[in-house]
Parts: sequence; C-alpha cells; structure tokens
Amino acid sequence: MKISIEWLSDYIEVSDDIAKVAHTLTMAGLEVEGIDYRDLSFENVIVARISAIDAHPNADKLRICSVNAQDEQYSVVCGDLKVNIGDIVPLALPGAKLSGHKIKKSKLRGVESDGMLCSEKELGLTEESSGVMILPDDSLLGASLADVLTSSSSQIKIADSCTVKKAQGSGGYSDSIFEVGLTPNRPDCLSVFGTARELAALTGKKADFPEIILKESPRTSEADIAVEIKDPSLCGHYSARVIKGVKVERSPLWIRKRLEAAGVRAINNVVDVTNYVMLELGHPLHAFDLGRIEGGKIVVRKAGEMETLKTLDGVERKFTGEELLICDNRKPLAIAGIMGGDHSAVTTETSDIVLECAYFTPETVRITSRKLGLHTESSHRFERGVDPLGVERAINRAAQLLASLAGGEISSGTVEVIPASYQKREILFRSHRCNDILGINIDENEATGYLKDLGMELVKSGHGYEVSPPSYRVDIEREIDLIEEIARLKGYSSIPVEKLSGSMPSVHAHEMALDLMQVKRFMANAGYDEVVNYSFTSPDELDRLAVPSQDILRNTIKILNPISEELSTMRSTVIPGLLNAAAINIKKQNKELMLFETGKVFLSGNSHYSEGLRLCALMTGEKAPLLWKKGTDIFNLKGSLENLLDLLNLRDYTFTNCSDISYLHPGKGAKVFSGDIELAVIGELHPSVVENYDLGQKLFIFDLDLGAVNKVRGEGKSFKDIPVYPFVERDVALLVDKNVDLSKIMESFRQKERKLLESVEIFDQFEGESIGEAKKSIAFRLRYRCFERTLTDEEVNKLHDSIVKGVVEESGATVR
Amino acid sequence: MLNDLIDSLTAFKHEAEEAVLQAGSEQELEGIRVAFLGKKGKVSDVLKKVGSLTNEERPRLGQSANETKRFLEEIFSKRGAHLALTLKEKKLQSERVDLTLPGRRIPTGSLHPVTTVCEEITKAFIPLGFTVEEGPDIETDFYNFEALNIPKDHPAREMQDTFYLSENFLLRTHTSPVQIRTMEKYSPPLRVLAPGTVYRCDSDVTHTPMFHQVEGFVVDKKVTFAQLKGVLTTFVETIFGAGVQLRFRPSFFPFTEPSAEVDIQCVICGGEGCRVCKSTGWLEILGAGMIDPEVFKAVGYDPDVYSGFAFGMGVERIAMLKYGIKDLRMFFENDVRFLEQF
Repeated sequence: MKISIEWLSDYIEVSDDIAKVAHTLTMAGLEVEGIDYRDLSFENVIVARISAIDAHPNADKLRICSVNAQDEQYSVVCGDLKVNIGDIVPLALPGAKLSGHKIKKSKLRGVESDGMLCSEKELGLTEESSGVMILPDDSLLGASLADVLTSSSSQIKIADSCTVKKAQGSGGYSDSIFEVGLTPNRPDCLSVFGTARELAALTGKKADFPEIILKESPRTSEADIAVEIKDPSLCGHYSARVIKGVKVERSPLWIRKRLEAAGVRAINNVVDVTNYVMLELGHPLHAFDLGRIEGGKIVVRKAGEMETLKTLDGVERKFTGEELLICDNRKPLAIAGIMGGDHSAVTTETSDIVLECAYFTPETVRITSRKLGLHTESSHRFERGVDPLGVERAINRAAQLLASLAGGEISSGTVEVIPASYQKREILFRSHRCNDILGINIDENEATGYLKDLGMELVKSGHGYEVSPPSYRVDIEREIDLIEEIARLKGYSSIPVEKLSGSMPSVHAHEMALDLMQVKRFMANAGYDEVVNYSFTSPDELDRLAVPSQDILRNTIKILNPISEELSTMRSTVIPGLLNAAAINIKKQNKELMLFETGKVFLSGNSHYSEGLRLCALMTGEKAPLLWKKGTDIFNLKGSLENLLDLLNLRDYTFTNCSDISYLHPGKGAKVFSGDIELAVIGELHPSVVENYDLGQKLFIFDLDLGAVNKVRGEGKSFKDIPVYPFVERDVALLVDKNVDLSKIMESFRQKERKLLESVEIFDQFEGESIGEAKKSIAFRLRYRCFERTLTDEEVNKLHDSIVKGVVEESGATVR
Repeated sequence: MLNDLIDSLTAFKHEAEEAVLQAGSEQELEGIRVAFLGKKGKVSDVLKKVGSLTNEERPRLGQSANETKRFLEEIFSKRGAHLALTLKEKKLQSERVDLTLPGRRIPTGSLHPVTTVCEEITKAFIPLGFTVEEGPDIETDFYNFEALNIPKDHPAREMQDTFYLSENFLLRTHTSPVQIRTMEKYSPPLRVLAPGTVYRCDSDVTHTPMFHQVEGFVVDKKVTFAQLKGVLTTFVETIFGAGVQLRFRPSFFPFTEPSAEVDIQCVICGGEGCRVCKSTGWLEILGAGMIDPEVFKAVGYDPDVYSGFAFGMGVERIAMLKYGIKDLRMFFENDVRFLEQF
C-alpha cells in the first residue's frame, strides 16, 4: 500500500522527520519498504496567460505563443496545437529544472523561445498527460506555480470541508510516498485514514476524520432504486444512494495526483471519487449508471450456472453458480466486491448514478476472486475484511465528493439492507497470561492503556477484562491477539533477552540414521564437487536417457502449475541434473569434472507418492595435474563407490555386469546388489546419451540408493583378535574365456575353502595374441593362515592344489 | 740386514699411506692392497728374506712385519670405508628429484555452500539441545497449511505461491510442516531443528522456485518471547560474530502469534546503508514468533499448558550474506568455478 504523507497529513499531524515516521510504522509491523521523496519546487515556473498564437515559419507542428505574466511578455515556441488564446498555463523560464532538465533560452527551428509551456507530465505531477496543463482561470498571473497549485487544491478541499494544510517548505510542493508492506492481517490499514489511525495509536496523537455534511435534495434514493439481498449470509450490509445530474469529466489535479500517488489510474471524476474514498477509508465502492439498471432494483444473489457478464476490463466472465453477483431484475451488473460490469459502467453519457457501498463476507470474495483469477483493489480489501460498520461513512463521503466534483443532486437517504446486525466481540484479557507469553512483567495499567490507545473498550471482569476491539480490527479475536497488540505497542525491543530454561528434551531415535553429512564430506574429500539441482525437471529428460516406457522411472509426478514445461516434472532420477551440470561446465571449458549430488527422487505409486534419497556421482576427463594424467577409467569411479560403501559399514555386496541399463554403455555397466536388493548402478555413459546431452566426452557415473544402503548396512564396527601366526601365500595364473566374470571365479574360490584361505586377491590381468583372442589370463594371490598354529608348506601346497583344481573344473579355466 | 729389512717395512707404511690417498676407487685401492699385502706383495717379499737372518733376529722381523700388516690393513679399510661412503653419496646425489614439481594429489572436491551453511546453522543450535527432524518434500494441504492455521482460501496463502501436484498434495512451501509432524509424534519438551528443501511458484532475479530453509521450534511449559529473543541472539552471534546488532519487528505469520521478523545490522556496510540493505542498514534474515494456540490445538497440545516459539530462515539468503554472493541464481547453476570456492 502506497501512503502519501501529504494526504496522510489531512487526518493527523505528521512529524517533519519522515524517516522517523517510517521507523515508527516499521517497528510496529507496518513495514515501510521504501520512501519515494517527491520534491517539486517549481523554481522559475510561473503562471502566464496566452495572449496570441502565431504559426511557426519553419514548422507545421509548432506554434509561437505570446504569453504574458503581469507586465512581462514572453514569446514561447510550443508543440501543443490545442492551446487557445486566454488559457492560463505554467511557463518554465530559463533556470527552471523539470525532471532533471534545465530550461534554457534556445532556438527551435530558427525561432527564439523564452521558455517552455509545461504539461503535467513535464512538471512531474502525473505520469500521463496530454498537452499543456491548463490552470484555473482565477490563478494569479506571474505567481509561482507552487503557490497556485497549493492554493487551488486547498480551495477545493475547503469546499469539501476538509482541513487545509499547506505543503511543507516555502513555495515547495513536496510529498513523500511510503511503500508499506502490509501483512494480510491488517486490512484496517489498507487506507490513508486507517494508517493515520494506527499512527495516532503509536504516537499518542489524534487522528480525525472531518465531519461529512451533505446537501440532500427532496427526492429520495428510494424513489429510484430498491435493494434485495437473496443470499444474506454472503452480504451483511448493502447500501445504495442515488445522485442525479452529474457531469462526468476529468477530475481536478489534486485528486488525480493523490490517486496516482497511491498507484491508481485516474479515469473520470465519478470513478475517481469511488477509488479515492476506497483509498481514503479502505472501503471499496462502486458507481452504476442508473439508466442501465432495469426495473429500478438491485438484487444481490448468486450467479446462475452458465450466466455471463462482460466486466470493465472487457473480459467475458462465465460463472459456475457459486459467485455472488450484483444484478438488476434481468441481468448481472457486477461481480460483488470484485469488479463492475461493462454495460452499467459510468461513461461520459451518464447523468444519474447509483453509488453502492456494501459489506461482502471475505470468504465469498476470496472464492470468487480465486476462481476467476481476478484480483482487484476492491477484492484485495474485501477478502481481507473491511470494516463491517464502515458502509455509512464511505457512501456519504463519496456522495459529498461527487456533488462537489461532478455536480449533481444527492437524493436524500440511502436504500439499506442489513440482514444481520454487527455483534461486538468480547475477549477475556488476563495480564498474567500476557506476562507468561512475552516473558515480561508489565503493569496492568500499562497493558490496558495500550489496548485503549487502539480504540478498544475494556470492562473489568472477574479474571481480568472483557475487551471489545473496534469493528475495523477484524484480526483481533483471541486473547493472544491482544497480547500481540501489547507487545507491538510496547515495542519488541523492550522485551528482555533471556536464556532458554526448562528441561532438555530426550533425543529421539531416527528411522533414517544415515549421516548424510558424513557421506557428503567423504565425497568432497574424495575430490567431488557437490552440485544442487532443482527437484523438478523437463519430462524430456527420461527420453534423453532412453529410459524404456515401462521402466519404473517413468512413474513421474507432474506439477499442476509449473513455472514452465522445463520444470514441470518431479525428478525420478538425479542423473539428468548431474549430466546437465556436466554439460554446462564442459561448455564453459571446465572439462575435468568430478561431481556429485545427494537429493530426493520422487515416484508416483498407485495410491501414494514416494520419496527416495540418492547419491549420484560423475567423473569425466581427469581431474589431476597435467603432469600426472595417466587416463581415468571406470575403476577410478568404482573405487570411490567402494570406499564409500566401506565407510557406511556395508561389507556384503556384489557387482554384477549388466548390459541392459538404457543410459549406460552396454559393455560397461554394472549393478551393485546386497542379497537381492539393488543398491546402485555404475558404468560408462552410453555414447548416444553422451550425444543427447552434448557432452562430447566419455563420462562415468554411479547412482546409489541411500535408502536401500541404510536398510542393509551393518551395525557399525566390532573387534576381532589379531592373528599371531604367520600367513603363507601362493600365486596362480588362470587362463579363462574372455567373457567369464571375475566375480564368478572369486565366488568359486570362496566356496572351496573358508577356514584357512584368508584372502584371494587378483594382481594381474592380461589379454593378448600370445594367449589367444578369446582368452584372458588372471593372476591370483591366495593367502593361507590358521588362527591356532603355523601352517606347514606341505599342508598349504596340498590345500592350494586342491582349491585350484576345483576352481579350474568349475570355471573351465586352465592353469598357466 | 735386519735393520734394513725393518726400515723397508717402515717405509712401506709411508709409501702405502700416500698411495691409499691417491686411490680414487675401490678397485684401485684393492690393487694397492695386493701390491703391499698380496701373496706376491711387498711385505711378503721382505718376509721371504727371513732366511738370511739369524734365529734371534727372525722373531723381531716377524713382529715388525705383523705390526706393519695391521697398520696397512687399517688404513686400507679406513680408506675403503671412506671410498664406499663417497660412492654412496655420489649415487644418492645422482638420484636427485625436483620437489618443486606438482604433487600427485587426490583432487580437491567441495561442498555446496547451501550444505556448508546449513551445517553451520545446525551446529549453532546443537549445544542448546536441539535435535534434527525431517519431513517429506511432497506434503498434504493439512500439514503445509491447515494445521498451521492457514485455512483454504485464506489470504495468507497468497504469501506463498504453491506448486500443486493434485487437489490435496503439494510441494511444501516451508519447512513448518515438520513442526506438525514432530508434535504429532512426540510430546513436549521439544527442541527441534528441521532443515530442508522448499518450493514456491516464483522465479525471477531474487527468487528461485526451489530453495532451502531451516526451521526450528521449542515447546515446553513457560516458553517465552524473551527466550525466543535469547536463542536467536545466540544464533546470530554464532553465525555472524559477536556484536552484530539484531532487532525484532512485529510481523504476521498465521502459525505464530505474536510474530516477528528479525533483522541484523547490515553485514556489508555495518549499518551505514548500502545497496544490499537498501540503505536501511538492516537485513531481514529470520521470521519467528510464539507458536499460535491454533497450531497446538491441531496437534492436540493444550495451549493453556504449553507454549513455544518457532523460527525459520532461508539458507541461501544467509549464505549470500556470509560469502558476499550477489546473484541467487548462481547457487543452482553448478559452475565448478563457483562451487570450488567453498
């Protein structure tokens, strides 16, 4: 909400120290997010009258105006072709500064100009304007523009019986506009007067709204309009007043300037007045063209199904039957509390109007506004809650302004329907409760004083006080709300700073005891950079990974209202994010990469959504000093994975070669299992996926299911005795078919002997012509040890021979 | 005769001493040794002349010869050891490596600044007895809104643009649902911290549709606003250093009452006013407040018995202030030249 200090000063005495005023509001919860200082001094801008207009000898689109200000005569070249002899206009003389430009005597297309005739926009008064500004006929020629502007707005305000205050500074026409970030609980401050009222409570000053005096004609509003509310639960108060014979035209500058300061566009005097009163009092109003209302009756009812209305913004609105409408006997006229209809809008043809001011329940306006996607200044206020007792003042204030700005006769009385009268709230307040919550020791008089400052009525009762907040404070319903008000007025800064006391809570055992930080730190120490990607991705990612249509990864979750299609699908795998991160870096010449990400993946089940936790890592290029590069392969990445599984106390797992992982090279991929639980996938990225992501180089990745790891991992460390007897080692080289997996042979070794064979390790692998194309040679070192005694060479030889023989038979290998 | 022979043996000593010094290698030394002590060496030659001596003279020559031999052997062995040492030294010299070459190190990895800052925040609260709880990213309307006193169609929902997955499921807009889940599971006293990923349907220079929050809350008998101020003051001092001013101003959150926004003195300009703090000298870093009685009712706690406070902060925002990162979007661009600075 934008609050003009010049406007605010109509109701309360505002300190000259604007920054301090802003601080007072901010520290009371009305955060002043910015201050727009408008200092329009108009030095060297005077009032002048056009006495003659001549054609420009060298330009069709320019005129030469002779203007006089008292005794002085000036010749000014002007681009506005619509000016007339006799117009009173602002004349900027050399030395004047307009929106940063300094005015100088200069030649325009060969003709000397003594100055410039200014538009409102050029003067910085409004953001839009057409042509030179025309001043009131009675303005004093030669006077400074600033004087004329302040006095002319004052004149009008005097007519409105408002108090008059000259703008501060000498001859200045200055204003400061606060941008107040209002929280949704404070609709009472969605107006200039509301802000004045708040400031009064905070500073101890008084905020006054001027008395409204109406000159009513003998004809009654009832003579022209009737009102019926068909849904009384949605509309607590409806008031209509007729004004006849208005002249619809542009509003005077002062009202346009104030509207603009509040960020509302000026339209015509009737619409401007309804907007002005809304900004002034916080109560939205609407004006209908009386001539467009059929049957002389306003009906407040719910929309019929499929009923339509073309609203003021030119959009044809279709209703479902839930929306509350303002209608006449035959058709909808407006959407209650949100926007008027095009057909009944006030135009320059309009002469008789009906002013509407009502209280619609916040719920109905919210629901309709959300359903239609239509948010207006009016709906913004209604859905937060306007003052249920504010109707009368608002409609009379608007009538008063309309009569003075647009002429017209105010019909006497209003047509009112009030289905339910306002019930005062009564809230029990106990000062000890206030002290308990805030941790202070406040005197009861001080506490109740703050509540009284806020306009609350207090009645002493047995336990404390029965407090009735004013009708416009719709946010105050409970004792805790009163406590907040006290804290707010006392100032949060005066509440002491204390240590936490009380008992320490017990530590709860966690289902997910995996220390993610430990995992992350391990990865970083192993050389990987942690990346973070959004949890939502493009649905195309799975295609780029060539994931088959039946794959579980395809059970993705769609966002109903995504930022874009690119971010519309919850990721079912972390891999694409990591590949995209690699692609971006490779494009930026960062080609040696080790990256990892831990994060959630999301899958849609039959009746629920599931979340999993993954660790995905990637290696490409070789992140090592140039001097020591010796080529990276998948085993570097596999090493990291094995180290990590060690760290997580996972001992019992196997790697199984797999050729059917869609995004991996068919000959260079594997899965990691613990029993039959799949823990991870690892391998080299499929060349076509490399192409899909425009990576241009080989990449190795693994994707680890941390949830699965957590389920199967061991309980932690346990101690075993250190052997005292020496080991004996024997080597053997086996010649096997190329496509026999090492894991098979290892399994075979392990099954043969468990007690004395302590370990089997491979120390060489060789392929080459000398042993035949289809063969490979693997060299093993077997270590034997007995826990109770030293083994003799003889028994080791015997055992070794029998183990090798068994393995050879099982795997079809030959001993080299 | 005897004297001549003894004299020549004595002369050998000097002769050998000089020759040994000339020997540059073990081979040369061996040559000299053979020349003096070999079977056909000079000492042997002298001893061969023993026949020409008298019986009385013979032992004297033997004695002298033995003494000479010992002497010679000692200087040969000394020289030999010296030569071996020199040789070893020389060999080692030749094995010189250039240790100004780069090391063969494990490449340096890095943790994402969000992770680091999240960890720092968590660590600041652990000594106060807080434990960490987690919740799902996909939440129900109940946990994300209803139970937190944000009914359907309430204007407060506009404060947080929500991503919906279905009528009832959404991406959590804050970590506050963890409050509800934890309170449902356990009874007071509670001191809980809930870090996590949150989502809002908002994307521009200062907003990313996903970001990270840390939520914290305390529930017990007699928890006060003054204690909230105490805990957050301790926290701010841990993260930004002692002496950083902070201020609490009234605000509104549906799930706390009274509510506050917490500002710290601008860490960039020290409160003088700059671009980052929009010339106010203050930076907003936390939202906080006393847990609203409605929230307690939603989880079945008696608001007349228990009170509590809750607070929440944006991790990226704190990381930006701590490290002076100017563009929020850098957190999700994953440029390693950004990542490797942390």
